[in-house]
Amino acid sequence: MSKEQLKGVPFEGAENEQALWNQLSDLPRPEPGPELRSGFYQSLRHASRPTLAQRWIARFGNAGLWFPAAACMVIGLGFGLLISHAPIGVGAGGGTVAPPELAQLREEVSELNRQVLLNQIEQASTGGRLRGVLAAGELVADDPALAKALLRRASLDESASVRSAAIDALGPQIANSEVGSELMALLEGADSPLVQLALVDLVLRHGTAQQVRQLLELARSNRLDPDLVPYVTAAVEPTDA
Amino acid sequence: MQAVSDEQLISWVADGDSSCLGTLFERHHRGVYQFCLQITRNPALAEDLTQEVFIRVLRKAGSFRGEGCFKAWLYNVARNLTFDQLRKNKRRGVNVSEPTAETAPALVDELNAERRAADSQRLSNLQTALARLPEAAREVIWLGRFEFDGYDDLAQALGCKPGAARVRMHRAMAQLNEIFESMEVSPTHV
Repeated sequence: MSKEQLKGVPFEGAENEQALWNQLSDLPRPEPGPELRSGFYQSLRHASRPTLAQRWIARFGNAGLWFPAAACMVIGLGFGLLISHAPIGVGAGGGTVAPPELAQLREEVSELNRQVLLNQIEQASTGGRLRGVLAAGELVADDPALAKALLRRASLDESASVRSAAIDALGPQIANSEVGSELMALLEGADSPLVQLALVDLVLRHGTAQQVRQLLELARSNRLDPDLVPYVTAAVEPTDA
Repeated sequence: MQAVSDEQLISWVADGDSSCLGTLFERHHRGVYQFCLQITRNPALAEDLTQEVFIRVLRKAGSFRGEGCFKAWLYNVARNLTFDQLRKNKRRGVNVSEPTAETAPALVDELNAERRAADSQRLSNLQTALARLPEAAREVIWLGRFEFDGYDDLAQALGCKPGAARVRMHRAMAQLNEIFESMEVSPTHV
């Protein structure tokens, strides 16, 4: 086991207690067996099994049927609303559904689309997640939950393509302080040049002056992929001078 | 560099992304296991408890309000679960907190692997002295020495005020020193 330097809480006691405190760091720290990890992931799968509603959405989402399913549901809702309000609607509005109800229908459609998108972003298949991320890019500006979901994909997705697509989709959201600081932290830690390039482009296109300065500093101190350093300095330095 | 903080990850778990719990597990399961092992002195039980701690974190993720650090909250969950288990075992008359004939060899093997450095006798005495402490003293020493850098976080993990954590630490170290010195005088205790 490596003798890592441990800090511990500050302890100041009598000399012999202090010596004992220092010696404690030499104690062995046994590693758990490999069964712990496999057992945990098995329990996790069991504990996070999707509900009936989630499975329903996932089934339609995976098969590419989410749009017809959503459309059918909305038409059904609209039809139901029309029947239940038909006498009032015809009498007052000349055979049309009253405007507040139309607005409500529109809201329901957009909420349904949003739920389907959020679900798609979290799908098991890489292709599904990628489609969800690309579609979410158009709606992210007005939706903090979508921005959060995209940020999660940008940070944690196992596929570099999904990570870089999520970064692209976040676009101008980089100016938002919470999203911006998360993305700037990713920039230095990104292990894939593809992802780093997406982040660099994002900062160059939508970043604040401070973020661009931070990017240039990373490039100058060689903390970016070597191929990206000349790209960044060429893009920034003419305006920086 | 950690791109995403523990606090951010647990908020995503609370939002329904249970995959983020895997990242938290990878970051903290060793420490939680070692803590549970220190308290229970039973490797198999410590592994079961570690697994249960993270499943409980999944279920209780929504109750983490972001006050204090996630790690302190995690260890608070771990200690509650561990002490609950010990209480249940005591009620049933099962004593798992002393090394038994079955568990002691595993701990000794772990020690042997680590004892290539000099002064192994003192280290062994220290390990034995720690094992002889009451569980409440053992937990404060272990968490304070290996898991936390400040009394605020330690106190949150222990579920008490920072001042109380400091007092508990001093008492526990005094007890440990007493046992350890008595063993140094009469090494046949080992």
